[in-house]
Amino acid sequence: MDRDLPCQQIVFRAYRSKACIDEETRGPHPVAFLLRPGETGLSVGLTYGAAISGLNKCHGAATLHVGRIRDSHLDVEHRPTDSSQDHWEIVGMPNKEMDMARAMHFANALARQARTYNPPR
Amino acid sequence: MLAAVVAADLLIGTSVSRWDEQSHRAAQCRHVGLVLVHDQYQTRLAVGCGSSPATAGTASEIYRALVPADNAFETTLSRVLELYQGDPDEHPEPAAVEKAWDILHEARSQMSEFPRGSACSDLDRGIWLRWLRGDRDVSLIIPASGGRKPYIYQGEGDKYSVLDASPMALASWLNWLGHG
Repeated sequence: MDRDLPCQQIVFRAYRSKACIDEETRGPHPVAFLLRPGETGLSVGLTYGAAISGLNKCHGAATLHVGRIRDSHLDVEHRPTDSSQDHWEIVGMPNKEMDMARAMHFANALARQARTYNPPR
Repeated sequence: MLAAVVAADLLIGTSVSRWDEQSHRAAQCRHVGLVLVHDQYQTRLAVGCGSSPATAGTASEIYRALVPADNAFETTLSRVLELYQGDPDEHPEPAAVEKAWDILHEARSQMSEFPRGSACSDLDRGIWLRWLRGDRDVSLIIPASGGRKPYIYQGEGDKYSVLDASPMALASWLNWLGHG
C-alpha cells in the first residue's frame, strides 16, 4: 500500500493542553507544534478520532494541509506504533534542545497555517 | 509547598515578601499589595492591607479594580495571572511568573504603546507570551527553572532569530512589530 500522502490530504494534530489555543487569535498556538522530549516527530492522524486516540487529555485539534506542511520544508510520514498502525508524524523538525531558533520557527510556521477543527456534535 | 507568595508589588511598589503558612495571612505587607497564593486546594488571589488579606477574587477582577486603565498591557498581565486558574497540571512555575512580571513592567515603561499579547504555559511550566501583527510575530519565553535564561523569538516569513531577553530588547521588538 502506498503510504505517501497527497498534498491535498488534511491531517489532524491534537491539542494536548489548553495552551494550544492562542487566546488572542483563538487559533492554534505554536506550543502545539513543539516536540516533547524523546519525540522524533509531531503525532498527527488522518482523522480527528485517530489524532485524539489514546490521549488522557484533549482540548480539540488543529487541521493542516500536507502540501502546506511540505511548503514549510517538513513532511508527513507513516510511523506505525505498537498501539496504532494508523500513526503519522510531521517530520523534519528539530527539538528545542538541538536548535531552539529553528524549532521555534517551524512551530510558528505550523501554527500560522493550521486551523482549529470543530468536530461535529 | 503548602503556600507560596509568587507575585506582589502590583499597586504602589510595595511588596508582600512571604506568606505565613500557619495563619495563612500575608506577612510583611507594608501597604497594599496583590498576592497570588497557591496551596494544596486552590490558587487564589488576595488583596492584602496591613497584615491580612481583605479581598479575594479572580485575577482579572482584582487586577482591573486596582490598576489604572491601559487595556492592552492590563489584559496581557492579567492573562499571565489567569494561567493559575486553569488545569493545575498547566500552572507555570512561580519564578517564571515573577520574571515575566518584571520584564513586562520594565518593557512597558520604555514604550509609548504596548500591544496586547497572549500568555500560556509552555511544555516545561515556563511562560510563553506571544504578540502577532500581520506576518510578524514576537514571543517572550520564560523558562521555568534549570538556570535557563529568558529569550525572545522574533520572526517574519522565513526570517527569524532568537536572542536573550531583556526589557529593552522586548520593547524594541514590540515596537518593530507595530511598524511592519
